[in-house]
Amino acid sequence: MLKINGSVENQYVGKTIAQLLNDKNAALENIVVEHNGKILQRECFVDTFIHNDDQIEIISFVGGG
Amino acid sequence: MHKINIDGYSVQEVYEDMKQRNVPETSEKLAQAHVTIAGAGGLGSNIAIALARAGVGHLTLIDFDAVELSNLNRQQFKLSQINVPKVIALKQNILEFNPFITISTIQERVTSQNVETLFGDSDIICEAFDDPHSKAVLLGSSREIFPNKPLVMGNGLAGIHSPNNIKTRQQSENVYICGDNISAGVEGLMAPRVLVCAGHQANVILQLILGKVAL
Repeated sequence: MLKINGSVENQYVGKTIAQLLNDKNAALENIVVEHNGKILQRECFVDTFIHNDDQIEIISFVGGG
Repeated sequence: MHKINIDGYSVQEVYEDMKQRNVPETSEKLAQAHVTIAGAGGLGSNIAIALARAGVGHLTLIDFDAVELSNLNRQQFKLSQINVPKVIALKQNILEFNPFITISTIQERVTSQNVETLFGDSDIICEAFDDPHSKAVLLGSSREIFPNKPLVMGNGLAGIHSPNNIKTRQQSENVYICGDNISAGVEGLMAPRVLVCAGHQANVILQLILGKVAL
């Protein structure tokens, strides 16, 4: 079971992190991606493939402080 | 021989009485702690003041900006401090009520290149930026360099929505994010929700220093 921010989203198995972020319309500049508990460097988004049972967290930051 | 005093009170008296209403048995650990706060705006100025009042012994304040009129709706500065570098103004304001704290000030922009130097000597990193990209950069690079150093962040505190949507969440082993994660600064920033979020951040920092996080 693939989990993205806690929800099951098996449709992304086999895709890359970059494809996932594109689908989600993520503002790339303002996000951090955790892949199975480890922060994924931006350079790795295009060649990191999503597997069954992965846990992915997309942390999106908004402005204001 | 002159008796050393602060505004007529003995140094010892001020030091003891300041802590009188604090939670007992917290002073020693708090006095030894070093927290580095990145950003001295709405979040950072309020967090720094809360930590200084609680008795945190050492603060490092980082911000490249100077005080502007538009800051006064939510940031802990005065009209007399317009154009003064924020870290200098904040240090002045804190020392007026707590003369025992040590405060280092750094007027620099935080980038992935200087994270190691800027945060190496602190026990806890507090993120208090306005800019979302800077928040993402600090999370990414600080986890790479200091995976074991606690990081407390703010995310989503704008507008006049319910203050009850602002929460402290543990994102990963050493990362805590406070806020509603949604409301963005473009809709306007008002003192109450900024203060609520700053209070969340300061509170979890105290808990981390005292070794018992309870969310």
